[in-house]
Amino acid sequence: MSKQTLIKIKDITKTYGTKVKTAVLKDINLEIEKGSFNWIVGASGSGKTTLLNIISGLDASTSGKVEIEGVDLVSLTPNERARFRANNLGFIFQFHYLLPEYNALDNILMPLRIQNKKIDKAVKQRALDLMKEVGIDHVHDHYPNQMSGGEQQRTAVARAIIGGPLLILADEPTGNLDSSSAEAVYQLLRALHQTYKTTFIVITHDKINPAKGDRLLTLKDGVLIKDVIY
Amino acid sequence: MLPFKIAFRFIFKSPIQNLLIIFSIIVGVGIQFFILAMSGTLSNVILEHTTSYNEHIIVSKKQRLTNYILPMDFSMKEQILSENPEISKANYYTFDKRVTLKYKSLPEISFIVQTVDNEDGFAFYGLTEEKHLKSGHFPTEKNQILLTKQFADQYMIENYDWVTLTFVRPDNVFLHADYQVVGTFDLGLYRHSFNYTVITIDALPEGYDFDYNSMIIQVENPRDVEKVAERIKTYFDLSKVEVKTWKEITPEISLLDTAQVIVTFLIQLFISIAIFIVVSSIIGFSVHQKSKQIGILKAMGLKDIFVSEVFLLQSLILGFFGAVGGLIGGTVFLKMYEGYMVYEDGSPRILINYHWYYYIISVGIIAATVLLASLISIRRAKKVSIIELIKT
Amino acid sequence: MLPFKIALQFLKYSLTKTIVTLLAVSLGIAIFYFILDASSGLKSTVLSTTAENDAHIRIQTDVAFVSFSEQSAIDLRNDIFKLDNRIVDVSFSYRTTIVLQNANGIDNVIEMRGVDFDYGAKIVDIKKRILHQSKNKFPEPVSDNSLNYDGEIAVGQRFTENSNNPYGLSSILSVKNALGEIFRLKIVAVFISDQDMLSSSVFFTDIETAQKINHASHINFIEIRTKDPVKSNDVAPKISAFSENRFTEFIVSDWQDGNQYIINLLYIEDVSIFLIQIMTGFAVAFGVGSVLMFQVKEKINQIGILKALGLKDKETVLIFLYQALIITIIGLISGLILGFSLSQLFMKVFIRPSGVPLVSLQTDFINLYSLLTFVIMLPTNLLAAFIPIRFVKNLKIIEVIKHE
Repeated sequence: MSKQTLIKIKDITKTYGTKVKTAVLKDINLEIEKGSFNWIVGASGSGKTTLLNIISGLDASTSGKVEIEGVDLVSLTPNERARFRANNLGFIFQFHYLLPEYNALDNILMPLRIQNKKIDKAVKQRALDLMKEVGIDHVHDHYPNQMSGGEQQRTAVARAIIGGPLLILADEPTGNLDSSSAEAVYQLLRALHQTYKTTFIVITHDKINPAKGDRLLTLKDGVLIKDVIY
Repeated sequence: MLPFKIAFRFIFKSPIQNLLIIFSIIVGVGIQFFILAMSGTLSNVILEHTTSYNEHIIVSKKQRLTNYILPMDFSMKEQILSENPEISKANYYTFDKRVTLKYKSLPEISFIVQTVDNEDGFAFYGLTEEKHLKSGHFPTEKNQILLTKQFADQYMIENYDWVTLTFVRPDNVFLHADYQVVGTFDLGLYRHSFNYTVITIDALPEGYDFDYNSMIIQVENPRDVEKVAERIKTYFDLSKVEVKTWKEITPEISLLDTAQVIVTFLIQLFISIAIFIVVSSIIGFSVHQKSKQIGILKAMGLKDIFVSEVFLLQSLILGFFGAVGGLIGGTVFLKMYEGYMVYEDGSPRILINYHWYYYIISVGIIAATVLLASLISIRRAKKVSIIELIKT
Repeated sequence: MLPFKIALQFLKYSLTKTIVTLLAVSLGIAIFYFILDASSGLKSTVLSTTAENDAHIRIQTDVAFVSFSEQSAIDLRNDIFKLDNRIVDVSFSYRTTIVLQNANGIDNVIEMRGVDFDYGAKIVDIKKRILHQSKNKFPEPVSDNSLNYDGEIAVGQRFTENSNNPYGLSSILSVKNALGEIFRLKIVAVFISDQDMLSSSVFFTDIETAQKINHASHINFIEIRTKDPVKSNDVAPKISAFSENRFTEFIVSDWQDGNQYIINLLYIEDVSIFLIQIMTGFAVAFGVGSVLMFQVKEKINQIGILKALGLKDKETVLIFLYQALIITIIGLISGLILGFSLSQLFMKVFIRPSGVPLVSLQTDFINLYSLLTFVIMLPTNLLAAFIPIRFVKNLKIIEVIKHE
């Protein structure tokens, strides 16, 4: 299996504050392989979310560089960054962040609409198939306030993957769910990883059981202290 | 005390947003108050200009009766005045249109002479008020008259000059009388014509014979004249006289006044409703924003009514400051407007009535919006479960 | 296209709020339109009810006159017209007083104005007032001696309504001139007027008949109408200067002499209504702006999600711009419909005794005031949306997500 680097993280540091400086990330160096499944774990305040936001371009580092497929996100204009996000990244947040004004199907189709893709019958069917795969086809016409927490989060997962992104970033995707729903979501993520070979970076502070091939990165006080591939 | 403290804390926590909310309420209340006061003043401006110092009720003989003269019963006049507090003045009166005025070498000018029963009648037409006297002095002798400033200017009649009035008797006999013009007056109001003067009956020339007369009445509130007119009818023999109000005599003016009142009322109503809606949504939003806090308080075990109190108080506080600011701002703006509306000599063009009820209505509207908005939002928050509130 | 669709969906989702906002905007727009229309209508009603019983400017002087086609008459008329381009009509009339003895032997003094109904058509709008009734005809000189009357007249409606005068169309009246000579006049028209003095004690006839009554061969009034009655005091001095050079004896009268208080009244109304207009416009724009601001705040999460999903900053701004546009346009149209309906209702309810609406308002939906309302309120509302939209543009995704 040829190993291609998708993300290059070099000397990433992030400090907050002007008078009293707090270093949230200190000299992070990392390379993420294409098609890999990566976990970032650590206690609250260890800098996991900050690292994820920097990787995805939602936030800028104080120093250092991040390249995704050779593209330095910081060098792009805001519009170019937006386009890059639309075409290449998928997000799953702790709180599902579905648009309450749209039903499940329309929420899932939104990334395609943003990419200016034509939404014809075929595309809709693809979305419905994906919903079936994810286990939520029975609520395709439900609005977020009509679905359970688990269903909402799975909708968010489907939304993240429908565009066929290079990379999916999940920030504590199960943080808001009960343990059985959480387990179901992890299994879903893995199944999707198997099917679509998308690169995953998942932040969690649950106790996880990594599968073979998973990479486990542990952060503590802004420093990468452990990097294990199972 | 605790709900009050919590409410204050919530307000201070997001100062900018709440300042914005208060500012929005100030603007809303200020505009609404200003328009209320302006419209109220406007609605009376036509009425004042047309009915002040004028006849509001005229009692005169029925037109078909040729030889009937209304008897000048002064005790009845006193009775009418004392029994009807809405009536401010009453006089026996006649007027003669067939008069011509001759001044120096000018051709004879068509003139009207209005005759009142005694000197009290001058007050009826505003001729005893200093502010209406533009030059000269009030007549002190029977053969002295005042002319309107407009008429005197037009024909260049000087004070203390003499004019000759020629009256035509019904039998076509001409009666001449000389009068000295001792001053000019200007009521500052609309009149059909300025070719007139007012004299007392005993100032009419010898041999004068009038063929009809009336009783003229002024009321405190010209809009309510019909009620008074009905009562006046009871004093007279209605087979011989008729009682008419200014509304019947000049219905166009009455309709115009009504139109003005309705238009201004509609403006007030619509603006109040529009402002009400806007301010309610603003306040409603500020409560909705605190849904999470409502949930947390409820989760901590506070009773619904306590929670409602906190949010009601928050809205009331915001509404209170907004209302006070708005009323002050509106009043200041009105004063500025009054100061702007002056003639060249600095005298005011318009007098704005700062009626207490404009303030009450504006405050009432704000109170209603605050209550309504809070109640709706709180009810909504009550219906939703605690956990959903926290999640918002 | 997508931002527009999202804007529409946002509005549809909180339908009640959207409808309430539209209601407020419509009400504000309706009032804005109604004030524009009604204030102008009221102003002309006030003028016609209180002021316009005579020409705006009159020159009282004797001028020899035979007919309007005479060169001297044409020249005089043209010379006056040239004085100011605000003069819209010049006419000559012969005026005299006559006495009518009514049924009860009481003398009624009537002003008789002999005018030319073509050249004097605009002065006191006498032509319009006569044409109001189809049975009316314009008075003409009587040359046929076999007829049992000497001239034709137009009388006011109030005159015929006066219970003392059992006269109407086709009645023949006997009147006396200053010398006591009797003339018989036939009523060929009954004109309407808001001015009760005009309507009850002024007769109109042709110049020849009026001259006949006084055995005169001149005219004694030159009547001038200005475009805007309120501006007549600007024109009057020119008329006076002209008269100084042209006539030996004359008196120039401006309707505003002694009617300063109408001018004052109109000025007060103008300024006050203008202020109310501005406040109303401001209130509507403010309402739209603040509602939009709160919309934006409520949708802050959605803005963040959409930006995270890759929607450009400009596109998120467009969402709210479209919302503002949709609310404004629908609000404008429904507000104009509401305002227009209100004014039509107003005209139906408030009618003069003669049946004509008290205040003349616009009768076509697309008129000057509806266009003005549209043109003023559309950009004003969009401008009010500017601040919330700026806010959206500058919103960082991180702040939104951290908002949680």
